Amino acid sequence: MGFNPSIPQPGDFLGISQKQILSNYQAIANAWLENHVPLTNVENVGMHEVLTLRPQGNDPATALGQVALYNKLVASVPQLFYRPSLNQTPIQMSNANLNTIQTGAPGNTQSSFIAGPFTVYMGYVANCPNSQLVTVTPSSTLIYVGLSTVKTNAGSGPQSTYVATPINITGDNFTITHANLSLVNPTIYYMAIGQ
Amino acid sequence: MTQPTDPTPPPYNTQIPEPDTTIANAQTLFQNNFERLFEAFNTDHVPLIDAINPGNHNVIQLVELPIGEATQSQEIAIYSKKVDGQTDQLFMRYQGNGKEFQLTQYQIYALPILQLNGVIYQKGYFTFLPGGIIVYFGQVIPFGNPFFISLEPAICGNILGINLCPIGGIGSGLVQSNVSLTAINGKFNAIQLTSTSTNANQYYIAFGNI
Repeated sequence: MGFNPSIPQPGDFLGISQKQILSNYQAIANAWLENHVPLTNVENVGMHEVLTLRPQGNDPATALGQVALYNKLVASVPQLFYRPSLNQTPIQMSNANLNTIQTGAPGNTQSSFIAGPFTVYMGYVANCPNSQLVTVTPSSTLIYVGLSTVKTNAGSGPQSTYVATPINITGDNFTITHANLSLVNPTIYYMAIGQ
Repeated sequence: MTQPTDPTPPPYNTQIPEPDTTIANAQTLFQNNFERLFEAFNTDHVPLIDAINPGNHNVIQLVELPIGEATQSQEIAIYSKKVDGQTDQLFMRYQGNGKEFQLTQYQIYALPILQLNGVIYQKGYFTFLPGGIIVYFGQVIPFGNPFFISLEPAICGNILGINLCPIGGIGSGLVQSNVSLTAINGKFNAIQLTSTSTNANQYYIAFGNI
C-alpha cells in the first residue's frame, strides 16, 4: 500500500487503522530513502546522499530570498540549471561538451565548460607549421580564440619576430598563422571558447 | 549537582503500531515517530511547521558516497565522493548511468602575493573547471632571466595551455618570451620565461589537469 493521507477517519477502529498507520509510516520511510540518509539511522538523519533531479517542464518560480537548482531538458539531454531569486533569467550550469583526460595526457585539445553554457577549449600544437588548421572537439561555434606563441628552442632564431594569430575562425575550427617562416619548433598554445 | 542528560531518543520506527497495540500503549511510539520526522525535516529542509515553504530546501548537505549514483533516463544526479589527494568533491552524472564527472576541484584558497625586496612580482590565483581542469591565472612583473611564474598548488601532471598578455604596451606592444615548464616529481610548479622583457607587466593564464 502507498501513502494514504486520509487516515484515520473519526469512526475507525484501531484494528483497521493499525494497518493503515503502519503502512503510512513505512511509506514515509521508503520515500525518504530516496536521496536522503535513512530515517531509521541514528546519525545524519535529514541529510542527503544524492540529489537526483527529475526534468521540469517549466522553470520554477523563485521568490525573494530563494534560488532554485533543477533539471531541464536541452535537446532531450537533462542539464542542471540555476535560477536566481525573483524569477530572474535561468542559467544553464552544465554542458555535455566535456572532454578531459588525466595525468600524462598529450596536449591535444581538452575541454570543459563554464556557466552559460560555454565550452572552454585548451591545448597546444608542437612544431606548429604556418597555416596550421585546428579543429576543436566536441564541436561548438567558436566565439573567442587566444594564442600564445612559445619557442621552446631558444637557438632557433630571433625570438622577437614571431607572432601567432588565429585566422579563418569558422564554426569549430581556426587556422594558426605565425609571422616568421624561419621559426623552428614553435609550440603554440591556444585557449578558445565556443557556444 | 549536574542534571542528567536526556537519553538519545529511539530512531524512527517503521514497525509500529503492531496489531494488538492500543492507542494508549502506542502514543509514545507515535509521538516519537512524529518527532523524528520533524527533526529530519529540520535538517536541510524548511520545517514542516513552516506556513509558507514546507518541502523546500534550505541547503543540501551531501554525505560521502563510495561509488557514483545510478541515474535513469532524463535524470541527473549530484553527489559527493572522496578523491585521492583531495577531500570530498562534488560529482555530477548524466542520465542513464551516463558520463560521471567531477564538478568541483581541490580547495580554493588565497595564494600569497610574491615579493622581492618589497617589490611585488606575482599576484596569483587559481580556480577550476569541471572535469578536473585547474586554472592558474594572475599577473607578473618579470625580473631576471630566466624568470619563473609560480604555479601553486603544484598538482598538475599535464599543462594544457598557456596564454600571456602584456599590459600597457612595451615598445612595439609585444612582449615575447621563450616558455618552458619546470616540474618536481612529475608535477609542474612553474612556467619558465627566458628572454622576456624586464619589467614587462603581463597577465598569464594556464590550464592543467591532475
